[in-house]
Amino acid sequence: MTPADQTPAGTSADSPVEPAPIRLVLVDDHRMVRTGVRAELAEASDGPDAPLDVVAEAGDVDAAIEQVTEHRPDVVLLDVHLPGGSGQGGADVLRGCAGLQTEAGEPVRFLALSVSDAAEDVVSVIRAGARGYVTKTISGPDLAQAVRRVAGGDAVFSPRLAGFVLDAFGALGGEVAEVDTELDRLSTREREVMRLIARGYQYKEVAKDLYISVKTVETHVSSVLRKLQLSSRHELTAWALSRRLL
Amino acid sequence: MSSSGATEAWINRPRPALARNLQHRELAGVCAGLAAHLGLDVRIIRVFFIAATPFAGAGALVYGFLWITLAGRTSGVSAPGTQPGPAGRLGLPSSVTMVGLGAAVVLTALVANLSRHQGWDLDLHIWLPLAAVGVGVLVVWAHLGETTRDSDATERLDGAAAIRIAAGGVLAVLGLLLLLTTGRSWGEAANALLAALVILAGMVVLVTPWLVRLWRDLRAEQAERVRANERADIAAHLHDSVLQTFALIQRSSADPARVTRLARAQERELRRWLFTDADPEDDTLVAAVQQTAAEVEDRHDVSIEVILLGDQPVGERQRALVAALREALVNAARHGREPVSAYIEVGPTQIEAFVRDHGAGFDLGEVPDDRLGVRESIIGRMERAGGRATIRRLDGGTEVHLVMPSSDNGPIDHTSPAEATPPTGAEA
Repeated sequence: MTPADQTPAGTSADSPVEPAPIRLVLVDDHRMVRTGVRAELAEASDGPDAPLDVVAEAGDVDAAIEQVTEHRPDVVLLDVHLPGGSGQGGADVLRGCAGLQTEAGEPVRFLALSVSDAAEDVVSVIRAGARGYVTKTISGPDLAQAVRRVAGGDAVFSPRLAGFVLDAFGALGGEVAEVDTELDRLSTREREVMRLIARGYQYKEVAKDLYISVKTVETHVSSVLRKLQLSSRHELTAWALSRRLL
Repeated sequence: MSSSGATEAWINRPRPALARNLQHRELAGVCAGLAAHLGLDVRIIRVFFIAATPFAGAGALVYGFLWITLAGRTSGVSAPGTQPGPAGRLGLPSSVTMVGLGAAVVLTALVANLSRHQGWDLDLHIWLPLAAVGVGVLVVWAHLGETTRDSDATERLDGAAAIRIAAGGVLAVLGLLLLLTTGRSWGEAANALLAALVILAGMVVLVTPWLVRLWRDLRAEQAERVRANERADIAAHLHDSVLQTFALIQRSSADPARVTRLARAQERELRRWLFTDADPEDDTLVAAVQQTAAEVEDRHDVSIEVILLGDQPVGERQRALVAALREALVNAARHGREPVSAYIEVGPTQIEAFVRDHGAGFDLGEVPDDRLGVRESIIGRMERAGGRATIRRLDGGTEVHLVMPSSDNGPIDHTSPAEATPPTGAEA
């Protein structure tokens, strides 16, 4: 397959054979990691899906905001711990790039990438606006798939993040809590989906298990992400406080 | 003979150094320290000191002398009869001390009465106020600087200690007042008191800035010391484990499998040390599961992702669950393919665990009955302990589902559908 011409990002695919490349910016303070990710994504770009094109890299908060504002990529792979800014790392970048859009009018989406899977890092970055979270031990093809999913507007949930969500919102049904709004509670379906993801199921497998379509699974996951970002539920706050996230 | 044998044993037993015992103290720990050193019951010693007090304050003088000269020690042997710490939330002294104090007061009053009747000249109008001042000062010194740790680990002045300090202070002031007013009129005493107060106020004003700076320096010192300790701790840990692993990795660079194994084990350990504050010696389900997963990871050279929700102390049932979990993980490692994940959910009535791998899977129906393997070690083990195990074959792997009711409930009924069966019935 010939390499795709550099069509402007965001235009609809010219032909089924050559979909528009997904433009990426890599943000990580370790050059080795950036090199490695670049190589893995290049390898995973061979195939029928849209190629993944790294247009820029950055090593700290200020450079990241600058590069993202200049290039307006589809997806930003964002490390959680970065020097610079006000010391909050990835969350600072998210806040600095809030509301940016690509040339096609789509919002610039962020996928968090980190070594640590400590609750602090995960939840704070998600609440700042990331669409998902993967650990650096992820394989190349899985990373590429996660990037494509985020580029398509969906959320990426690792089993560990699903575990956090269940822990924070209460995994077990039958909680008699006063619930203010819809945002503060997971629906039964969402809870089932989260549980299956925590058990290591891929979206396909979740769909098969619950007799729903993959698209529905993605909708549920996005909804859970939104709740995690916006909920001010008492339990979520208390949970975050107990882990000193707030 | 037993008594001489006991006496010999008492004489020859190892003695802790004579020091004030700060953990088991009523006032300054002198009696408790003496008791630990001599091997006697602390109550005897306390009674002895109290009984000796009315005799020109002998008991109090010796106590005070020992207080000043002995160093305090917070750990160490406790003598028989001591109870740890002030009893009760209000810190009321134990009953023995109360009785002893009461007896001392009564004795002193008796002696005072007798002396008046018999014409003994004991100068009680001087001694009693002095004694009051002495006791008040002792109490204040004993509890000054006592702090407690709140639930959020900030130190603040202990409420009970504040009450004691206030009581001691009042006692001392009363004693002073009594001393001042003996043989004088109230007017003169009031003048003297006023003068004293003015001088005191002036001194406080002069000295306060220095005191404040001293206090602040002290806090800074403490913080710095804590930081240095923390740093030393981290350095020790890193030296012991991480640097060792790096050295091993460099040496094994020709053996990539070994390098991966070393790196994975070290990563897991460092991650646990950094991000959890669970004590590895804890006897909880979470600790047991993590340890099991770590062992399987190391022995079978596979990465296992463990996700835990909730926690419980470990009992018989939990142990059976962990053992079955280990078997399932070993199975997944041996016959399945990565990624292997384990999800354990501790609920109010039961514990559920799911072990998932992405290999070719196996068909339970195909496992012959005479092979112990899965049937016995996983299913049989769970059922014997009152739980249940199901093995599902999925398109991309195998999932083992373990359910164990918590100890409060009885064994779950196998014939009735359990609360959280998998939604589909694709049982192997």
